[in-house]
Amino acid sequence: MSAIRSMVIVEDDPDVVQFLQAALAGWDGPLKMSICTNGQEAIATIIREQPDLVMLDLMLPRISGFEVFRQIKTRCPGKRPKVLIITAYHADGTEAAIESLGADGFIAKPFTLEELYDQLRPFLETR
Amino acid sequence: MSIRLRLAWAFLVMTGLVVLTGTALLFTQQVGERYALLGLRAARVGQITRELQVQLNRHLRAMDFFLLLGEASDRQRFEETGGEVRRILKEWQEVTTHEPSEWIDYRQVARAYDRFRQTADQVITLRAEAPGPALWQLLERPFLTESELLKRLVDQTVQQDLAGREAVSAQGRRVRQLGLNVALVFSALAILMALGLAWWIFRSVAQPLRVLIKAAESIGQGDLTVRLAMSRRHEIGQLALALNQMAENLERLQTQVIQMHRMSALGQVAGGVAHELNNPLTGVLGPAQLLKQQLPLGNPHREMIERIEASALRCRKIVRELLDFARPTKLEMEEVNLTALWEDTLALCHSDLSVHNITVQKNLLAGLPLVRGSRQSLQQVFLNLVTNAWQAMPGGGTLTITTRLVANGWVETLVADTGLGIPRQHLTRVFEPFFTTKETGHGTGLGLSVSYGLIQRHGGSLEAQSEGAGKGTTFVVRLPSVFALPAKGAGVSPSVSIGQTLS
Repeated sequence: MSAIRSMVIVEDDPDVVQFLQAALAGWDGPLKMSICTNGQEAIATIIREQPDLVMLDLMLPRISGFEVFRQIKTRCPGKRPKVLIITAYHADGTEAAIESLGADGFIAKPFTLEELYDQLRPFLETR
Repeated sequence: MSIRLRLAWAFLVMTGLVVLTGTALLFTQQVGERYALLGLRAARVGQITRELQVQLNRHLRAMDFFLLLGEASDRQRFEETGGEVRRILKEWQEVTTHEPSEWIDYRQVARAYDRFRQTADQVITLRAEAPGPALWQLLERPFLTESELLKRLVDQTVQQDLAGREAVSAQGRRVRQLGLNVALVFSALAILMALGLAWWIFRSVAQPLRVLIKAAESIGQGDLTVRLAMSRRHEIGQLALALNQMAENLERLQTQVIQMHRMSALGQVAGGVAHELNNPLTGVLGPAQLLKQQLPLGNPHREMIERIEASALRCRKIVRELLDFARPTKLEMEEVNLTALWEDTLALCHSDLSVHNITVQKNLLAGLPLVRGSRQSLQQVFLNLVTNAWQAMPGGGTLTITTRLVANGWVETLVADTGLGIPRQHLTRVFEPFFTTKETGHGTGLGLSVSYGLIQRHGGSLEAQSEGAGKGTTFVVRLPSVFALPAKGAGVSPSVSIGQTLS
């Protein structure tokens, strides 16, 4: 039984969004997916919907993914959602920054189905 | 002979000539003075003898008159003039030096006068006391002879004195002339030498210097292909050689720097492009995999989908390698034993190498100092070089790995193959991203650029050497050991430090 009921995907590239939607379409059980294409929208949506998981791209227009994550941490202190960072491969210092922020995982674009599932599996097994 | 020595000799000789000229002139002057003195003395003697001549004539005339007329005044005059004659003779004695000479000595004249006076006095006394004519006639003959002799002697003296004086001045003139001639010859020689020296300096120093200056200016303005052809072994030739060496080193440095810049620029562009590709690639790889999932195994489209997936994965690999090259991750530096690392690497490649009939020749120096670097990155580079090597020897061949210590505590590794080689015009391009001479589909063309970048970040250098197509290739990796002297700038290796390479 899937432990993730709702998730928010913060990604501005439509190709990636389409793929994620298709990949997660056959998910075990009901899954509510919200798509946000920019940071502002994302923060508002996350605060409102309180999802279980957020998949967060770092390269966003206007506000960076880092900023969004920081906002999530401060605005939802108690039970904040799990955050999976979608990042480009090997950007300078990104790994260190991700670790210091305390994200729950990260996956590098372009990723295979298997890599995606590998990253999501721990979230299934926590509950 | 070196220029320094030649100039020294030339100046020495010229100084010698000048000194000789001066000596000749001095000698001339001294001789001239001496002859002038002689001339003066001769003139004085001339004066004296002429005066003597005059007085003697008066003396003899007085005597003649007395003998004739017997007047007392004549006798007085005879005595007075006699006194003058003696006085002049005394003067003559004082002026004469006691050197032997051809001229008539005053002593001769003095003696002749004494003899004359003896007889003359006797005759005059006889006359005064009016002896008989008989006595007088007796004395007349010897008396006349003596006075004649005396007169002649004095006249001769005057003549000789004139001649003598002329001889002296002629002699003086001759000697002075000789001295002047000698001085002239020496100064002419000195002038010739000076001219010769000037010409020689112009030919072998000034002109070559001009050429050198022009070459140096050209180099300074950026033309590093300038080379000088100078065969001489002296200082100018050495300078030319040094300049050539400098230009060559600068050219190599320049090539390296340009290459580094190009790579860096390429890297940045590549990095940007790679980043852009990430999203669309996700849009290809992902859906392809999803589609593959949905097609059952027997489906005819499945093969096509699998090919799409494989291509997309290949794209991903290329993009990631490019990003490795463009924005590398931080290296974990440690102290690496290169010998051990090579043993490891060769063990890893063992199967590949034996399958392709590659003989491995190991020349790993024992006791090689440790190298500061990331073991993983260095192994990646070594693997890359070994792979390139065996891929260049399709029918088999020999792979030679050599490690050695070079100047300033640097460590050199040579990976040599007996394979396809690299043509001259490609040698500098070999490290460019995507530059590959392999057929399409084999190799990304990024391996060497990544290796180049990694070695640069270790502060070392990677160089490709090949005699040309078909003549094999050697890759040279230079890295600073833990004992290395600090390098001047990031990535500038001692391969271009002037005069310091051993090979």
